[in-house]
Amino acid sequence: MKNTILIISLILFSVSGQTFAESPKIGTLSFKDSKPAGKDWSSLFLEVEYSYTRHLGEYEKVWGSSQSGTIAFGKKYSKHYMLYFKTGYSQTAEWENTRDGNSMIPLLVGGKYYFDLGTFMPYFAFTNGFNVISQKYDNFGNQTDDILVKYAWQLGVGAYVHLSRNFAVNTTVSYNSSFYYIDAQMTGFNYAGGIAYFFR
Amino acid sequence: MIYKSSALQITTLLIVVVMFTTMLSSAAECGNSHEGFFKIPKLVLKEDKGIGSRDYSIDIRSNVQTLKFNTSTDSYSKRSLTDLNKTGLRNSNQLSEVNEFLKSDNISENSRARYFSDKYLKDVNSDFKYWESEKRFGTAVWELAIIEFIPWALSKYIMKPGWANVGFQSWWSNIQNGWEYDGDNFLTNNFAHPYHGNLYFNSARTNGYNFWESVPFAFGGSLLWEYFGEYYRPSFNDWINTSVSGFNLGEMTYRVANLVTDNTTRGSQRVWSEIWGALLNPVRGFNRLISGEASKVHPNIALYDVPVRLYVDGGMRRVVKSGSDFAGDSVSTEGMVGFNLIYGNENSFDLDQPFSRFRVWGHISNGSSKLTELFSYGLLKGWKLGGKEKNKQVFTLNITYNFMTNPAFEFGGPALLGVFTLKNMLGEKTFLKSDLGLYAVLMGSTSTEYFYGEDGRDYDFGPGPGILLSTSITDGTWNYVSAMYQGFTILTMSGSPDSKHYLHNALASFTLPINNYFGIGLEASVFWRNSFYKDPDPDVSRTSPMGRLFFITKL
Repeated sequence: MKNTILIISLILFSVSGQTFAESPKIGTLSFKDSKPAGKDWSSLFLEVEYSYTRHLGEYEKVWGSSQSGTIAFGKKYSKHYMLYFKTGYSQTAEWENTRDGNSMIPLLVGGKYYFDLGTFMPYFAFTNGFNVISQKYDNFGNQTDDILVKYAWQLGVGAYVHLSRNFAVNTTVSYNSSFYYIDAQMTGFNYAGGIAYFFR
Repeated sequence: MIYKSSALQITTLLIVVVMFTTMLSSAAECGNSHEGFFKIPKLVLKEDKGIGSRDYSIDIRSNVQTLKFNTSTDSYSKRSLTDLNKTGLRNSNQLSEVNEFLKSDNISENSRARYFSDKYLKDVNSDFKYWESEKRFGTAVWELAIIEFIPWALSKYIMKPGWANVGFQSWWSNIQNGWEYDGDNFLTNNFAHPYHGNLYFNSARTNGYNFWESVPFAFGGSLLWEYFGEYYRPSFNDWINTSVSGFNLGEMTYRVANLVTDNTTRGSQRVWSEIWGALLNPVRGFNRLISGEASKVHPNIALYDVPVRLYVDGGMRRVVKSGSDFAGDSVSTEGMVGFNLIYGNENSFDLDQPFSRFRVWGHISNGSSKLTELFSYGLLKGWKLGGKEKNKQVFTLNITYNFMTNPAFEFGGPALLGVFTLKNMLGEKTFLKSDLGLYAVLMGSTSTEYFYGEDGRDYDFGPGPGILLSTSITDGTWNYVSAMYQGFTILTMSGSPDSKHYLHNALASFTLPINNYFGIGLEASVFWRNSFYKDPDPDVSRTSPMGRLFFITKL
């Protein structure tokens, strides 16, 4: 876990360092230039993210935390709104590490309501869709080979910090809730960090 | 659960009574007050882009010209509002056009008084700013909080049913445990919750937000209630029913309320128009009070002019409660009345404007199920696929509300409906209209034989697909011959384990118009259900045919 965070931090620092180092050439580092206000709000964006989920309730008594890598593609289409699609891969450990954990592919669509303050862009985010869950053991310890498709949603707050006109670092804290078993729903708090590229 | 539904009803009643009394005193001041209930800053006119925003300028100019000719120097006396309303003026842009028109006729701007009363000029001016012309986030959030607070406070401090005893412990428990399905009765889940969602939606819709921007308020308001307003775990079916059917109902009440409130009238006519508008949409009524719009004479917005058709029918039906023998013991004869409201011009609605066309229809009978059916289709988005005006094809995405009770099954729930529509002219006015549609039922509830929940719930919940096939020969006013089939599959998520329900309804109908306003009709329909349960419970099939004879009138 610590190694993963360290590696991601190093990647983020190196990317941001490189971008700053190139600023005299590309001339897009100033606060003014990086602000898209007043012109065209519309831009496509691509985002890569790592996240850690601390689960809650009955689910947490069987399953440990989850780690995910996700990719999101979307469009910022007006002064405050973004729409995007997110997918990826998530691995959940079994709490006592005596059995295999489960894995999950999220298929989520959602939106962000953001405030463009220049380099800093805070937002509220809501996504929903389906988690495709693959498990070898169910919640009660029975051996199984199930593929479950369950409704899921996330509600969170976060912020982009623009490193340049195109690149931004993104952090989000969100509440996750997905159906699993009616007495052990997959709830938890999700902490995510990543990097976004805005095509403009 | 009974307490919860009563709290909602009492809240609604209280809101209506307070608004009614305030409105009477406020609207009575119509002629004198220029400030309304509170002083508000002037805003620019907002016109909701839609079918009602068609160009009236040619008619208006013609009417104003006529008014000018009929106004002699002697009769300089100011034109009455009735006369002015005949010009067709509906909004400030149109008024500006008329002013330009008068100017172009070498008439000084001051001499507009010759054609418009002082009062009218004072109130109806091109600077009039509508409350909804600006997004009012703060007001929307406060109103949402009040809508949440009133039923909760009534339950907590007066009715004390227990579910309102919330606090940090219940909130954290709900956050940890997540969704479940609740045990409310069929009518509470299908009626009370959508009504509350409609209020959440309108807290934004009547504060300057457009349809799509208001939808999150319905979802957010319901989510807040489910997690923090009740002691019980949040209910997933409540969230879907409240939010989806809530914004569906909310946009319809918003638009119909705009049709019935006439901003250009005064006196009792205005009072009644405000009362009807507020009954249909209490949040809008409240905002009209605090903005002063309820007591000011000002132009109507384009939504006031959207064409609407309302049909009312009455007659009798014979229902076979089991089997197919219309002469058997299980047949009952019942009286039945119904309505069918069609909003928007079916031939020229705006495909990009949500709810520029919608339809609501329902029937009640004096039999065992009082409300036998209630449906609505509201346009979300449409695409013209080809063809010309007379033979055209469109694809529309709609949000629907479905409610049916009959001897074969109960069914309720919101659904998305994608429909491919073909129109082929058969004569000068008559055409053949055919629909092929696919439903995605978001949260269906339907009858089951094998589930009885702790709270008395006796029906299953689940999503599922559905199909719609319909065709009719019509002239746009009367459907002479029509046939329809719709079928739904409900994949049970809560209730009878691993069950599936297939629900069907087929119908054929004939209407013979007697004149422009009256017709008589005959309808034959059949409802049937096939439910498949997990072993050892046996599967169940039920069928219920029905024949109906009715008079129908177009209002």
